[in-house]
Amino acid sequence: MKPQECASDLDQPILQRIASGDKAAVQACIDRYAGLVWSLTRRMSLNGADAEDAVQEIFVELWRNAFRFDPDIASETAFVAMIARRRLIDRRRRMSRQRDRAPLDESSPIRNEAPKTEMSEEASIAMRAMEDLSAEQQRVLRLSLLQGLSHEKISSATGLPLGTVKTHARRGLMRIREMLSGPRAAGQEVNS
Amino acid sequence: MKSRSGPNVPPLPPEDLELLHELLADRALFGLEVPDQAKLDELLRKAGLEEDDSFDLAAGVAMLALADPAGRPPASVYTRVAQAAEVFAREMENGRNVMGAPALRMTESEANYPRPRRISSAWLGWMAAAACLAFAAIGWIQIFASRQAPLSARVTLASLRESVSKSPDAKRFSWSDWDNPEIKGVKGEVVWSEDGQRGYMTFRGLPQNDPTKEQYQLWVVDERGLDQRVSGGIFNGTGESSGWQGEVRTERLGDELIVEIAPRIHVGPPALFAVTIEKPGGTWVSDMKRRVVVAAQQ
Repeated sequence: MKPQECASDLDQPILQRIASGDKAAVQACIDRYAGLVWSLTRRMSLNGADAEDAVQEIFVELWRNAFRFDPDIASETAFVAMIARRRLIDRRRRMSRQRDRAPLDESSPIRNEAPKTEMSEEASIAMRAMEDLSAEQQRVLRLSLLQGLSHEKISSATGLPLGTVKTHARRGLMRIREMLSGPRAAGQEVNS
Repeated sequence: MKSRSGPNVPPLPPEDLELLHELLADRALFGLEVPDQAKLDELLRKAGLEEDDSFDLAAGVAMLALADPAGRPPASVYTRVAQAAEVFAREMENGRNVMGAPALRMTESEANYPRPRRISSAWLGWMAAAACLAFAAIGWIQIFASRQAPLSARVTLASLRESVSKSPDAKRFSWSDWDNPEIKGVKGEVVWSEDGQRGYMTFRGLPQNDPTKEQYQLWVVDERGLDQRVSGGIFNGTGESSGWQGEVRTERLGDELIVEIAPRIHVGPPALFAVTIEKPGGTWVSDMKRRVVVAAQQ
């Protein structure tokens, strides 16, 4: 299955092409987003085999939900990240029922530097919102967002009371959501 | 993808609105257990919303912002995804995933997408089963799964089954022991409405399983061919949910267990329903070794 894209095809978001039945767009979707999905998956998956399963699940979910994508609400990259995260959380919860995970490795690299130029506009906004949060809030959110840890695990790892963890996580995400609801958030990406 | 803007939410009492936002945030960051998901569903309904993706979208974007690039995936990942893409492309040809399909939200694992390590045995297993049952060229459908609305207090699966059974297009299939079943003597039937795309299974004598070790998984077969086989969903013989996404609703009625079948995509006339025992959470591709019952079109 080789993509046969013409200029007009490329003007239309890949997910909309998939939703309209363009089979070539399925391969184009893999070509464009495999690296992104792999990056997100590797952050939250236990091992290579599990990550491979997750990536396949995410793409299937993405194609099946392609018609839900609305470029007026978010960029395609953001939609892909949303689908990926939902699927990864689901996998993490399933796995946590099967075995108690090892304590989190807080030494895992977590990027703190300024957003890279190729980062989407939305991701840049989210990063700025993160930077406005308190250090504790940032820490809680990072442990949730990047490692998919439960409230309890974060409480155990940070020493923060469970209620504080919940409050930090919720308020932090609400702040990011508010920032993304601004006029520059929807449908805009930089160098992507 | 639903609007993420707050103004779309009709006025809710402040305490309900706060709880709605908390649950949406919790779902986006941690996922929800079944009781909390039920609360969320109820609040969304009260707010007049089918769904609110805005918190999930914010979490996805934030994750995007924080995650380090991992480089290109290994070749094995591309192979796996390309195989799934071929299956999906065939579904597109059959018109199963074009715009206007039934409403999609987040769903369980897609059960018909092959794992290279296991496809051969799965295929052979099904070929054997198909030969024994004299079915050929049949396909698979999928059942919708997660984030289903909970049953209201007065609407039971029994009443819904009764309603479907009275529909003019209702078809019934009787369970019988599968070839070399792990569990013998399970009785009951399937009632299915093709027009309504809904159905219910009834079991008598289906043993209770230990959901931490294994679950029952439904497989539905239509005329589309083995290569499009899809899981039907997972359930427990206990009649209780164990919180997995992908579990279909169940209900105990005396010695009967009623299990819902509700595919979210259109399926053709089913030729076969089958139940296997799988690992908790179900499997993408079953080797069909742990067989329970089968219900074939007469």
